[in-house]
Amino acid sequence: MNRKVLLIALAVTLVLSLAGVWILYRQERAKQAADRQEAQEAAAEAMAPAATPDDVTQGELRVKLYFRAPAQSAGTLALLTPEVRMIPQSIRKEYLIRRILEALLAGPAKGGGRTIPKGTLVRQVFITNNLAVIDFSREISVRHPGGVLGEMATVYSIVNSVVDNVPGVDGVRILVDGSERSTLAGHLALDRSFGAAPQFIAGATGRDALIQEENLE
Amino acid sequence: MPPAPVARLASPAARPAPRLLRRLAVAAAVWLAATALFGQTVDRKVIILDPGHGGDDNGARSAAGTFEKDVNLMLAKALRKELSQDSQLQVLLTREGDQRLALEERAIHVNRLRADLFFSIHCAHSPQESAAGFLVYYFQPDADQTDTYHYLKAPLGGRELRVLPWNLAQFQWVPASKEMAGILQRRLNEFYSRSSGAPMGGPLKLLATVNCPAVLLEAGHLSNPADEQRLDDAGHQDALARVLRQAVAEFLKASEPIRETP
Ligand SMILES: [Zn+2]
Repeated sequence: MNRKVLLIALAVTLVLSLAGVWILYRQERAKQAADRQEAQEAAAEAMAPAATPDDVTQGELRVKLYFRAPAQSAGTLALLTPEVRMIPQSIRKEYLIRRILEALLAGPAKGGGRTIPKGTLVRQVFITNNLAVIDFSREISVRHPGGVLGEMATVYSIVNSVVDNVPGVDGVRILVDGSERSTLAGHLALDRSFGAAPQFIAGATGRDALIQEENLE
Repeated sequence: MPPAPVARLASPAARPAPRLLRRLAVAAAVWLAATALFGQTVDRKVIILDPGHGGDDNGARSAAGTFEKDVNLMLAKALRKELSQDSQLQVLLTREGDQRLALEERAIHVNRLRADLFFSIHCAHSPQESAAGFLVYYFQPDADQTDTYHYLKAPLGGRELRVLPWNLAQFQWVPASKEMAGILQRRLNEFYSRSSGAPMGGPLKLLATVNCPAVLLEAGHLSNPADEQRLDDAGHQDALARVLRQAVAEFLKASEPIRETP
């Protein structure tokens, strides 16, 4: 036998077996990725707030949502501006709160700015006594643009929108990714419950002004 | 301190005069240096400057890519340079470089050193590019948060204790902090020829945990290009630092800190 032929045969065998191993490896990787995606989808489904049989709606409800006020000049308290919307009226308060938050997440329709970072999800909502506990995904913190007023706008747009529109709810506690956090994005204390803060609403001097406005309509 | 060491050194009169004189001179020098140093450290006020954010926490970011953490540090260093010209002040920074520092760690630092004033330096950010200017903050509890003392029941029927939680130590300093915020606002209004604007009270986490008069300044809006340019300019940083120094001096002079009796 020619030594050269033997060497070539050996090289070819080596290359072929390496290619085989490589193909097997790629197949295994693809299978693992598919499995992982399936698991993630299953987890997301289990977590998903999709309409369940207990989410019964009855007609529509007129709600006032609070977004970031436009052209807010430094040093003034007028951080938020109201926008009236009609949303499906959920019988259960948890679903009503979720619908309000989803409307806030979608952003304003009539000027002003969004107060919750894009990509944020409402993970869970529950109520204990007169306190609504809302668990947001981590995007509410990690995608926050920062600044004290920005954090105040985020927190109080959520708190005012929930407390003003959901009867029997007087306060809001915000959780992030299932945990208590000491701040939202480094400034504002989040390790506490918040009550409505009408002083941050443009054109209103307080809760009484809000109520009066309601009565005039 | 009594002049005892001098008397003891002077007593062996039999020693040769040059040596005695030398010893006397050394003793006098040590005595003078000691009293000067001691006296100064006792009277010196401790000011802690806190450049906000750091490390992987960039804070706000300008459209051009400037990070709040970097501007905060530059401003804090400019202010330290100004304040350090006053020998009556001991000025410290919570961070000297670009490292992450938890809010609690900053508070531990301040409370351990029993600071006379805590000054946190930040920059603002707004979704509206037109929003500009500085903002002054102090800690203010909500109306429904005033009854905040914890009541600890001692075991075996012991005495009930009233304790202020450590992370609400600022409660007893609110009037002093508010006064400092007012002085700061007025000085900066003058500096920037602004006619309106008032300090804002709010539930700021870091300030709540600080056990001394404390304010937080957002020196300008990083989201506003003109503000950003000013904040980045060394000349403006120095000018701003001089104004801040005047505010600190006015506050320290105005008061033995006003302390609300709990
Ligand atoms: Zn900041």
